Order: sequence, then structure tokens, then C-alpha cells
Amino acid sequence: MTRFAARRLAAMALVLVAVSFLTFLIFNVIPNGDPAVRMAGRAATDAQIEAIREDWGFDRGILVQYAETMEKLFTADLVSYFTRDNVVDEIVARSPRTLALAVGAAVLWMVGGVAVGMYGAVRAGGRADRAVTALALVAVSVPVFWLAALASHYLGFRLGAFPNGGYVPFAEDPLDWAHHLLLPWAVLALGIGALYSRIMRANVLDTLGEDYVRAARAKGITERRVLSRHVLRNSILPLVSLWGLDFAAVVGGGAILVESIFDLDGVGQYAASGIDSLDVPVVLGVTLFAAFFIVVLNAIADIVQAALDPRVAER
Amino acid sequence: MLRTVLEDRDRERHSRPALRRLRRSRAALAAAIALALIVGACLAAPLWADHVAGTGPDTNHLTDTVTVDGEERDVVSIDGVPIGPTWQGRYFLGADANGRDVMVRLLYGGRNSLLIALAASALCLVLAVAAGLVAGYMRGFVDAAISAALDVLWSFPVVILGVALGVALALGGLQIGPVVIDGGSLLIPILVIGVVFVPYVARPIRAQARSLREREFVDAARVSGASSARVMLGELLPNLTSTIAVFVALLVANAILLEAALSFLGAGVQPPTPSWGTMIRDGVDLLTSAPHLALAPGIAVVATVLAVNTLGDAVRDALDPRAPVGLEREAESRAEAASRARTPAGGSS
Repeated sequence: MTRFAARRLAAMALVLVAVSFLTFLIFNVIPNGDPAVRMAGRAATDAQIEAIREDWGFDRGILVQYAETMEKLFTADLVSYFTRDNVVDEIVARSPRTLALAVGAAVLWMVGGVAVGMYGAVRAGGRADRAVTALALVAVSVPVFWLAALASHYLGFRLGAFPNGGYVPFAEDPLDWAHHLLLPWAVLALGIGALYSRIMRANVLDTLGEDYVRAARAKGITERRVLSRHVLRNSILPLVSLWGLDFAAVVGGGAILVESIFDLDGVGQYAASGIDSLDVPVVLGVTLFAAFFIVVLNAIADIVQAALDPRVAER
Repeated sequence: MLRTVLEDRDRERHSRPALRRLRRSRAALAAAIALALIVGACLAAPLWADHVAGTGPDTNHLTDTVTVDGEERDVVSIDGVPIGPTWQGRYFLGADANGRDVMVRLLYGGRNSLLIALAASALCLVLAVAAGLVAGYMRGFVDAAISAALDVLWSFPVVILGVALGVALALGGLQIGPVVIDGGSLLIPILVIGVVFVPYVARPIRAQARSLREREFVDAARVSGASSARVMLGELLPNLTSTIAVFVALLVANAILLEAALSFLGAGVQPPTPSWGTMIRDGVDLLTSAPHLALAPGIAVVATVLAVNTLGDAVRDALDPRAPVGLEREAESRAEAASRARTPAGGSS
């Protein structure tokens, strides 16, 4: 078990190194991607460009540049090419906003998905079940940023039921904090929650056919208790490992699309602005931030599973 | 030989009820009709543009007027607000801020969005099936190398990878040997989307290839002297068709959504070329004064993706009637792939 965990952690570190190198490469081998030219601006002379190139070390080999960038990242010295802000500080300062967004949405889609899926399975084949199934199919077919823009405009701006974007720290005013995040949470949770409800429904239907459920019913305990003690627990397990993956996917994807629309100014919005200006240090920092969540949550899921089921570690 | 013949017959017997089941599904029929209408309409874009709207997708009409219900109105008002849907030939769905006909752009944009989604899905399938087959069949070092590459791609946040590649390529274009791809080319979003989804498909294929290669018919083919390539293409690939069929709809649906997302972030289709994603991007800023600009392309995306998903569900049910309904398969394969990631690259399962 310990060996398995150690091996898994080593693999994790290797993947992160590869991800960072690939990101670096994408922005550095692309023609016209020369950062010195872009930093110098339009009216720059060749000498100015050359000076910037030397100053920032762009004239050195790509491996050297990569190593230096990574060293700066870990000593928190990495600065943006264009704004000169410290990338690590910026990400650290913004991460509470992105995490608040992702955690809230994750709770919402898990609770919502489980409840709706359970309801659908208990009423399987009925009108309510079919309606919910159809709605779930619609929900997974909607582009999340489009929904975010519509929700922000119609429910926020027109109806005035929600604030017009922005973020309020939790410590300042918890109620206002939640009020600002409610719409982004709901928008992000809708599609993933719909997916979860369908997985949950199938799991519950499978579990209901198990012998131990029949045994529990035969013992004479109430249906409510059968569902909550026996069915719910066993049906929810497969969702837990997915949960971590989807959480990471939101940090590295959904947040980028949604944060700007609600002006939450978290890591996602920072990423979007960095991508817009081809600001390599910013993109590198954010990519590693998101990849870190993906890789770590993957590894945790593996190790937890290995702890629960020793066969996994032995393979 | 005989074994292959028998298996062929076996396969045939199984595929016919699948087709029958598919034809019996009313939802599948409705989705197929909707999809045919959408694709047909987009293909007929030039007809609409020339004979009904009388303008092209990139033609500005900032100072034109149009007669609606006998009343002459500006296409774009003095304060820059474009006209809404007129529900008649010209400006059927209104105009955008440049006075371009939204219906014409929607149809031409649909062509681009659908072309990108289909081409990217095809590219992804080819890459993923090749990688999965080779990794699953060869095992050893080759498998370890391919699996490691897939692991890295898998650990990349999809949107960031897509956007980073898209922005970088759109700026500089791409040069592979003598082939030069222009920065504004549709090939760039196709390449980006095609590559990004590879691990999602390659991992399940690899797992299946791994278990198939242990089966007797593979031994039989090898003993009778078939080369590795022949075994992979002739024996393994036919047994993977239903898995691949299930992935087609999922890929197309997700490719349409990703194209929209990338274009929305400015990393997909480059203006002035229309696509549903770029149209949503243009429309979101004008939601207050001209909601039709964001609504029309958004509804087109939802309708198309919904139809593809419904059809995909039906295909899946038809192939395996006992399978749980719907998209959970996607999640299952994700969960399966996740558990596969658990066994470190090269480890046998």
C-alpha cells in the first residue's frame, strides 16, 4: 500500500513536469510567438528588441529558459511578461474566489444530482422520471458560457434578483458572498448535476436489484430506510471518484468560461486575460495550478480506492 | 478462416436487431429528422443567401434600410442598435452590429461549426483508435510510452490546452514541412479539438484491445501467420466497432460545444468567419440592446447538440439494450478511464 502510494506520487510529479514543459513549448516554438517582439511594442527598434531578449534570457536555449522559468515559479519570482505582476502572488490572491466558485458548485451538483437521480430511479418509467430524463439531456447540451451570459443578463440585470457580477469576500459579508455566487454556482452545476443524476439513477436501479436489498426488505424495515441505508450508500460510491475529476475540470475549464461573465475575477478570469495576451508566465502558472488539482485529485482517488480495495494496489 | 466466417455471421445476427431497435425508437427518429433539417439548412446556406436574403455572410449593411410591415426601418439605427428579427426573407433573424444578416450568418456559421465538429471527431477517432489499438496490442515499452503521453494529455485542463494551442496557432499559423496552415484557417480548431479529446477515447479502446488480444481468435490468427498489423486491423478493430459507434455521438456533441467555447474565448474560429461560437461571442456583449444576436446561435447549438445526444443515446441502447439509459455511459467510461489511470503506465491489469 505504501509502495503503491509512493509510486503513484512519483508518477504524479512526472506528469506535472511534462505538462509544464508542454505548455512552455506550445508558446515558445510557435512562429510569431517571440515574446520579445510582442513586449517591445509596434514602434520598437531592433536594438530594443535585442535588449529585451537579452534581459529576459529569450536568446538562450529552450531548456535553459524552461529550467529558469520553473525555478522562478517555485521561488515565487515569476512575473508576467506584460504587467510585470508576480504570477504566483496573483494566483494565490485569486484562488479563494475560484475555489469558492468550484466548491459551491460541486456541492450543488452532487446534492442535486443524487436527489434527482434517486427520485428518477424510484419512479422509474413514470411520467416524472421521463420528464427529468429529458430535462437532463437538455441540460448537458447547453454551452455553459451561453447559459451564464443569459442568466447574468435576464436574472441579474433585467430582473435584478441577483447582483450584477462581482465578488464579496466571505469574511466581509457571508450573505452577500453567497448572493453573488448563487447564479455562477447554479450555472456551473446544472450540466454536471444533470450528468450525475443520470449516473445515480442507473446505479440506484442496479442496486435495487441486489440480493441484500431484497433481504433488507424481507426483514421488514421500511422502504425509506432501505433506500437511505442500503441503496443510497452503495449507489453514491462511483460518483465520489468522478467528483474529484469534475471539480478539477471546473477549476481548469468552467471557471475560465464563467468567471469573466460574472466578473468574479478569480484564477479563471486571470487565465483568460493571460491567454488573450499570450502571456506565457501567466498561462504557465494557471495551467500548473489547474493541472495540480487534476493530478492530485486523481492520485487521491487512486490511493483511497487502493485503501478500500487492496487488489488495486497489487496490480 | 472458419472461425472468422462464423464470427462474421454471429456479428450479423447481432447487428440486425440493433438496427431494428434503433428504428423503433421514436426519440431517435425525431432527433434524426431534426439533425437532417439542421444539416440540410446549413448546406443550403448559399441558396438562402442568394435567393431569399439577397446578401452574403460577411456583407455589411450599416446604412441600408429594410421594409417591415410597410414601414421603412434602418438595419442599424443611428445609435448602433441592429434591427431584430423581421420574420421575412431579408433579416429573417435580424441584423448584427455591422448590419450583417443574422440568418445568413447562422447558416454559414453552422456549416463551419458542423464541419469543425465532424472533422475533429473523425481526426480524434483515427488518432485514438490507432493509439489505443497499438498500446493495447503491443504492450511493453510501446504501451508504456503511449500511455504516458495519454496521461499527460489527460492531466491538461481541456479548455486551457485548447485555448493555448488555439491562440498560439491562430497568431502564428502552423508550418509542418512544406505545408503551411494560415492562422485563420478552420484546420486549426479542427486540429486542436481533435487532439484534445484523444485520451478520452484512446483509454477505453486500449483497455478493450488489451482484453481482446487474450482471446482465442487472436491466437488463431497469429498462429496462422497473420502480422501484427493484420491482427489489429482484421481481428481487433471489427470487435471494437460498437465501442467506437458509441463514442461518435459523444465526440460530435462535445466537439460542437468545445468549438463554441474556444471561439467564445477567441481561440477558435477567427472573425469575420462566422461560426456559432463566434456569433455567441459577438452577441453576449449586446444582450441588452439586441438579444437575438446571442439567442439565435445559442439555440442552434443547443438544438444540434441535443439532437446528437438523443441519437447517441438511442444508438447505445440499440447496441446494448441492457445498458443503463443515456449519458451515464460517458461517465462510466470516464470513471473506467480514471481507474485505468490508477494502474501506473505499463502496469498490467
